[in-house]
Amino acid sequence: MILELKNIKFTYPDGIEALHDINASIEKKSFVVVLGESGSGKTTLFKVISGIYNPDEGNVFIKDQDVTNIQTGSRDLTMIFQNFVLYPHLTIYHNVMVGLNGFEMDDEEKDRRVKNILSAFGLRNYLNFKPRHLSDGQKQRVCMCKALIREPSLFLMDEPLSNLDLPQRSKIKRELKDIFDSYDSTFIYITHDLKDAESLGTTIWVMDNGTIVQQGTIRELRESPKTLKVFSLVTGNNINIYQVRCDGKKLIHAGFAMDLEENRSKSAYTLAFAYKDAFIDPNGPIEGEILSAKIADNGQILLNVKLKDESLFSCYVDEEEEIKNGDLLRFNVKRTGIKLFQAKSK
Amino acid sequence: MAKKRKSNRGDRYQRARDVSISLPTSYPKLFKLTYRTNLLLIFKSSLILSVFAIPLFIALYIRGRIVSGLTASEDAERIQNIMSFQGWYGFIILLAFLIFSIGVIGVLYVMNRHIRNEGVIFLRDFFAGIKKNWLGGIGITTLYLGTLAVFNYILNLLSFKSEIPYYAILLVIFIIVSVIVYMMWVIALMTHIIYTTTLGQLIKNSFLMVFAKLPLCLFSAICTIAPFIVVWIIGFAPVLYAVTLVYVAIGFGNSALVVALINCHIFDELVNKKQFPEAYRLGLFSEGEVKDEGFEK
Repeated sequence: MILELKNIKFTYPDGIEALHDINASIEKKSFVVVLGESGSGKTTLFKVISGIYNPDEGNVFIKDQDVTNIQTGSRDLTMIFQNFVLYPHLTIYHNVMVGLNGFEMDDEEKDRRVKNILSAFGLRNYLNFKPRHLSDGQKQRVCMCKALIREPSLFLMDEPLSNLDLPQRSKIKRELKDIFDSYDSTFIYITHDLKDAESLGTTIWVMDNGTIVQQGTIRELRESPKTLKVFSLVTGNNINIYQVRCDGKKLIHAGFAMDLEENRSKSAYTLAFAYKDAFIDPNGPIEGEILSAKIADNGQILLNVKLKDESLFSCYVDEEEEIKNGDLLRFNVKRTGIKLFQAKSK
Repeated sequence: MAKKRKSNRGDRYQRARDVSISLPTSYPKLFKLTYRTNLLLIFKSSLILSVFAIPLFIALYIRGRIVSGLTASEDAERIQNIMSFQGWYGFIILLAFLIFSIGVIGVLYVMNRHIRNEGVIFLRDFFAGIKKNWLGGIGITTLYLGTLAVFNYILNLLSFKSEIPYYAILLVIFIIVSVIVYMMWVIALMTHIIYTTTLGQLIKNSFLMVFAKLPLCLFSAICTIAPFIVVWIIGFAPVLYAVTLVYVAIGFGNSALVVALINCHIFDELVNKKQFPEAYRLGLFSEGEVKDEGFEK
């Protein structure tokens, strides 16, 4: 294991318990994305792993060595943040070279490494430039070069792309994936952005309320979310949620009823399904009146529908569908997309 | 209100600092870019060359003092004294110039790395340049400037023999040869830094290149040493000191940059284009590359 967290607990001096019961491990050469909303404890976890904070309880192991009481500088890791930590008076070349300070290698080897990593990030042409001459995206790439040039066992990133515009983000994400493929380092990437998790992570840790609620691939998390929160996060909040009752294979809601594929104990549940799993079906169990139709981020039309019991329902349809406000339509939901959580689950 | 004004000033300052600049597509643009992005490199180069020029400055200063003392002596004795002094002085100035040329080698090496977009860490590269090239550099300087010093000595000797005809013509020839030798010396130093070559080829190539690109070489000489030589000849001390100060602050670094840029251009045209295409315009970018990088203005 490259990283192991055992029973980590951390409370801020003002009494806020930021982390509890953190137990997780990462195998070598993984790209772990820590996904969670603001205040879920992602950044605190980042700081505990990096050694900026010492946990109140528990231990941090890096390459099977207990580093809980070892300072950040002595841990085999590097990190970057959302703001760009670069020396303004030094050239890009020199800034990246600073990352190798303390390494015993000759100047030619250092020079070769700096040029290699700058080439990998598309910055080879800007060796003589100062940070102020670069765009924000390029600055962040320089920060990544500076951190990665040490070839650390662990590379921690705390929302590194959050200050960048969309094209820059996409470009850097592609580069980051290529870099991950060509380096032996294990990457930990903290974000609240689902798209980052989808495109980068080999493993996702979903954090909520100071603990890791679930971990797995994005597919696993979508197929078998443990909590409604996890499902909400891994679908980008594009879900319909209803309080329902189940009775055997029957699912009953005030506005509709449908059959399930498997038996459920007679109880109250929270039903959730993603917008993308609902579709227009003239024989479907859900009937509603179209309130609005808007173009969504994915290019499809997002329908907002009012059900019989006044609750709302949303789904995507293709652009070709001719739908007007006020139309009465019937819908269905893919059975594999239906997620039922015990009613208390939040 | 005051707060708002302050913030606007801050914005303006930030906007002025966060300049977007183009990748250089030609050597003049690279010159301009260096002033915009690496002014410190020029300052550092000037400062370190000034340190290496201290013996030269001292030698030049002492010469003025001694020559004024000698002029008070009797005629025959005066000539003997002056010639003896000229001999020793030529040797001392050559030694001082050898020390200066070691600094020049280091700075030209740094400038070459900068121009070729190799990435520069000033002191590391300065000393690396000296370490790699000092012996060759001293050899080249001794050869070119030593020859010049000998010619200078002979010319001084002739100046006391009034029966020598056309002395003024000899003097003009000597000045022309000096300029040519200076241009050859600069090319030879840069060639030695960049290429592996024999001494014979070095002499031959530097000679051919000077004449193949004479206007450029003259321009290089005008931009580098001409101001200093002119005020030295005029001899008005305050102007001389002022120009020296300018050289200490920025002039040496600027000269090194100009020399390196012009020589890189000459090498591109006369050598790299055919013999080393991979080194042709190394460090410069095509218009297409600039567009691809999104730096086009």
